[in-house]
Amino acid sequence: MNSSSSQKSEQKKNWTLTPIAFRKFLEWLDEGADSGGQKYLEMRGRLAAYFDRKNCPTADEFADETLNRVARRLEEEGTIKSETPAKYCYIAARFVFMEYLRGIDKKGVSLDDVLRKPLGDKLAAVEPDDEEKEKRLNCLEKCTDKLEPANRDIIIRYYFGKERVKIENRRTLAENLGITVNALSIRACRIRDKLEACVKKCVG
Amino acid sequence: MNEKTYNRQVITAYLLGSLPEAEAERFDELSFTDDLFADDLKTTENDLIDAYVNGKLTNPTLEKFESYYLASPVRREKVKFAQAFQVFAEKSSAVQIEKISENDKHKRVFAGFFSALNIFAAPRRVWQWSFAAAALLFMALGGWLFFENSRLRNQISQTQERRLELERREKELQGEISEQRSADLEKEQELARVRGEMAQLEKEKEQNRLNEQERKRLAEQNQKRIAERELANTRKPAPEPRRLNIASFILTPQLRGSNQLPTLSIPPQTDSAAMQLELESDDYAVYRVALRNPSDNRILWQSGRLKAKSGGENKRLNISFSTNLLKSQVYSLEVSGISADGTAEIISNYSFRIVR
Repeated sequence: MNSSSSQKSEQKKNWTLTPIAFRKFLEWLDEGADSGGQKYLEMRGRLAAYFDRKNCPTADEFADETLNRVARRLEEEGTIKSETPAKYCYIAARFVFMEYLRGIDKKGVSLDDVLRKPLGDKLAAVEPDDEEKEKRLNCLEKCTDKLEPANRDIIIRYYFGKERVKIENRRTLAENLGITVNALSIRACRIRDKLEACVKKCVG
Repeated sequence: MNEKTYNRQVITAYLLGSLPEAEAERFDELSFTDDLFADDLKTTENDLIDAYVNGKLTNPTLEKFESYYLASPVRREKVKFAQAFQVFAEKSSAVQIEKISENDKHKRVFAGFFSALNIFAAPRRVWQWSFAAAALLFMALGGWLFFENSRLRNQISQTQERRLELERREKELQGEISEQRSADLEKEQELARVRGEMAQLEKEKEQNRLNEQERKRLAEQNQKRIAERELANTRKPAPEPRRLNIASFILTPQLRGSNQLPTLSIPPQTDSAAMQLELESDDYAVYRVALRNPSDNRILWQSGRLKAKSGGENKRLNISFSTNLLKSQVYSLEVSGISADGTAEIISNYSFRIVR
């Protein structure tokens, strides 16, 4: 019993994501509608954000580990029908997080210290020096230029003005686009996410 | 999710780690399963960061933001991006304002120029009359241009004054709005905290009641057994009956939460641990439970095939095993659902800490 379970655990460790398994995983995430990999990227983003909110030190690695586990389970079982892909990924992420906590517990670190991690002197790290500011700003300008003209127009107009002027301006912009202010804020948020990713890549 | 059970203030509290654990876990799940919530979460996070960058946050939100939110390098990067984006947006706004006033100026100049041409066009017949009349006309035109220029200058200066006045008013209103917002946010956070504490108290009360019921039931069972044995042995000299000591516990799925492992205290002389595992859902006809030692990953005990029984709102699995297996450390009970073809799938995990 023990040797077979250790064999299984060894197999799990050695398992790698094959192109066929990955394709099957993408299809499962898409739930019948081909999203061209968008669902995968969205899910990976949500996983990384989840682990980051939990103060996990390597949120991206944990996100990949979770996706790997779900893909492996999918390959073993053929299909997963018990939950929706989103819910199943969340459950898997929670397991990964709990394992991380157990590891922390074994090392004798207080869980409270991990979950409510204090800041210490990291506040200063938010203030970039002039050179870094300049670089980031240049990247931002380059990235904005790369946006589609319609999106560039939306993001500039969305953040135009201050307080009351800004609110009025957003209302007018939403009216011009024929959408609600809430829908506009979601659209602007997605454009901002794109810009943020582009700037992150550009700054390096 | 059909109906929103959250607002921006509660999402802000979630982002700042101020929500009770159960509520935070609910939001964790929503961030995966509810697209609307995921969008609201992102926009609220961006607004929160922008408020910080613009110096609009006040205590205790500011303190919480700096001590909790900025603890993550990923989130600090977001703040740095927002700082750059703020500068960029201000630049873009300035360019936009310049363009608008530039357009305005051109319109006025062209309007003046074309109206002047109209004056030239109108008196074509005057040219035919005489140069004197033309000279008079030029003089009149010069006077009119001078007058028009003064009028426009006056108008621009009035507009500038009006603009300054509006800017002053805008600043005043901004101050009022931000004060109001921070007051609202504090109230919402306090409300969320109080609600969370109340829910926790209710939960603890319910669990104590269930534990008490279970203890009574087991004690009654024991007494009944003892009475039966005594009855059977009335004519024999009764040996000293040894009372079977059982410690009973109920483990709920909520108790699996991250940093608050339930602690189960096993009194000395306890023979057996009886546990009721509350299931999140009853999707299988048969289940199996395994007790695992996470430190070496060994299975210490495994149940036979179990059926879930009704108890409270959710179905439960009843198990019991010898306390000899347990020492003071963390254990986990893995619940597997057995499908019709006999395959088992781990569906839940109940971690707990034993204190002896």
